[in-house]
Amino acid sequence: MMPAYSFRVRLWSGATSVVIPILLAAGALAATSYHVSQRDRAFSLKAITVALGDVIHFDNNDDFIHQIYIESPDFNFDSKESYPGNSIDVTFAKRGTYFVRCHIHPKMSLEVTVE
Amino acid sequence: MSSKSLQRLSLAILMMTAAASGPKARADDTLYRDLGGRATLERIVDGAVAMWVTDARIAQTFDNLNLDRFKRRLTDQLCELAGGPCRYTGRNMYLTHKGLHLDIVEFNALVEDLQDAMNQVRVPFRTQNRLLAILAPMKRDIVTR
Amino acid sequence: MGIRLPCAIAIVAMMSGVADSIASADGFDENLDRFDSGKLLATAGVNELEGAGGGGLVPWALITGYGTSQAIGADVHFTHIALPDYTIDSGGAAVGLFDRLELSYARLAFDTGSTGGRLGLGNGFTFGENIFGAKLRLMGDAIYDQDRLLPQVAVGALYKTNDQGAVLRAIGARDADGVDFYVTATKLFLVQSLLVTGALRETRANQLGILGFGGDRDNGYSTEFEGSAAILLTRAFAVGAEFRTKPNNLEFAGENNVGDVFAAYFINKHLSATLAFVALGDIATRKNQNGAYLSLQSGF
Repeated sequence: MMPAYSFRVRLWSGATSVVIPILLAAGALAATSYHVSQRDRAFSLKAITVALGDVIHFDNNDDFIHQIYIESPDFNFDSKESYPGNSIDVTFAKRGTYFVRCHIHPKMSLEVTVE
Repeated sequence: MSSKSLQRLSLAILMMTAAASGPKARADDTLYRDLGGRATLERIVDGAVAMWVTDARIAQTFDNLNLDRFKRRLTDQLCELAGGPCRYTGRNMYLTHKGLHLDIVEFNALVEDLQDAMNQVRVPFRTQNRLLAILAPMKRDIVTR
Repeated sequence: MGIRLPCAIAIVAMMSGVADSIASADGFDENLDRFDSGKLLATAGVNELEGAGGGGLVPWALITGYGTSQAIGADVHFTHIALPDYTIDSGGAAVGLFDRLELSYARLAFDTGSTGGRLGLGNGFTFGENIFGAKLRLMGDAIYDQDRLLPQVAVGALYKTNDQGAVLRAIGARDADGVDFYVTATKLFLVQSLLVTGALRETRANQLGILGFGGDRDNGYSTEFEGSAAILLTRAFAVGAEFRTKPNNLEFAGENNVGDVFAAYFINKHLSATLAFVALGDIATRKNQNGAYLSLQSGF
């Protein structure tokens, strides 16, 4: 007995049930992770450009306690203090340019451009 | 007593005296009160920091530092060490200063300016020394160069 | 003669070996100031009569000069003592290396004045003495180890030569030169604003060597005790007292324990002045030689 759906419908639903998960997974993989080091009371970079949804891991590779904060109309972030060896993750979910600072070391600054 | 056991006895005495404790954070608050309490400690710390940041021997250490946060923590620490009702919640002296690679010249500059700051608020000399007696052993942890 | 030359050689060898290892262990750092005058005021002491870093009469375990453990310090001193029947003048220089080794030189002049005539030596007869000193800090930190009872401990030697050999032999002294060996321990009790020193010395010196070494009454080494206590009144001003016991080697004249009370003013790290009242006991048959002591020290 032939199924109710035609061969073409079955082929199409089979294909989409495979392709859509692959596309979704590819979309998730596309959110990049970056590592920025806190070292010698400075960020390892002066500026960085990331894509919407990307994550920056701020790794304390220093002898000092650090902290992360961002103050802007579009995006605010304020972390706990981070001990040497720890990491703070910041996801950039809004486009724009932000300055990442440390409230313990006023001269630390990282310019993040989110595209 | 044989010379060998005499040597052992001397070594034991030396080690005991070396390990014997002297001035530590006060169990009572006499020094805290004699220093003038938290209010005077804040003035001392304000005065000391004002000197440290302009003292060519040590100013570089205070570059790129949130001074308000530093002063609060230092005042908490001095208050606690003097027997006052405060709690210092920072890390130990070795870890906090390790990254600064301070040498003895810099440490002594910190001491001299602190003494000047205590002079400015008229802390009696003997009282100053009671506080310095608690701070002096930190030299071993703070001086790493 | 027997022990002196090998001792002197051993001391010089020890000094150069130590100085060598200290200098090389420090590494070479062009940013380091080798003349940092970094020690806290007054923590280098002054110079005692024989030239060693210390108080007025007693060598302390502190190393002279304001150079810290990574630097060198040095100073010159002049001391004048006016006694009823004599005057003593001392002048010299000392170097402190890396807060570890101290080398000093002092020249003592003991002027008998009109007493010289009465002693049969001639008025103004002067005994001159050269004193070469070395002191090595062994352990402890008098200033910073406030949480430990262990004092700062140093050992030292003073090689003394007197230029009046003939007269010395005539008064019963056996030698015109000699070496003192000492161990000294110093501790600053900041809680009490008190600086304390205790020392032990092996010596054959008569009147610090002014009247030679060894004698017809006693010729061997004797163990002497010395101590010093000073109250810090301000960062720049200390008052205190010292005592020293001395051998009694000569038949012709007895010798006593001595002491002083002093006030030391540290004007800055480059200049200090010490005023004292010294009680030097009997010297060469003249009794109760008590008088005024004034010393100036300049250095870095």
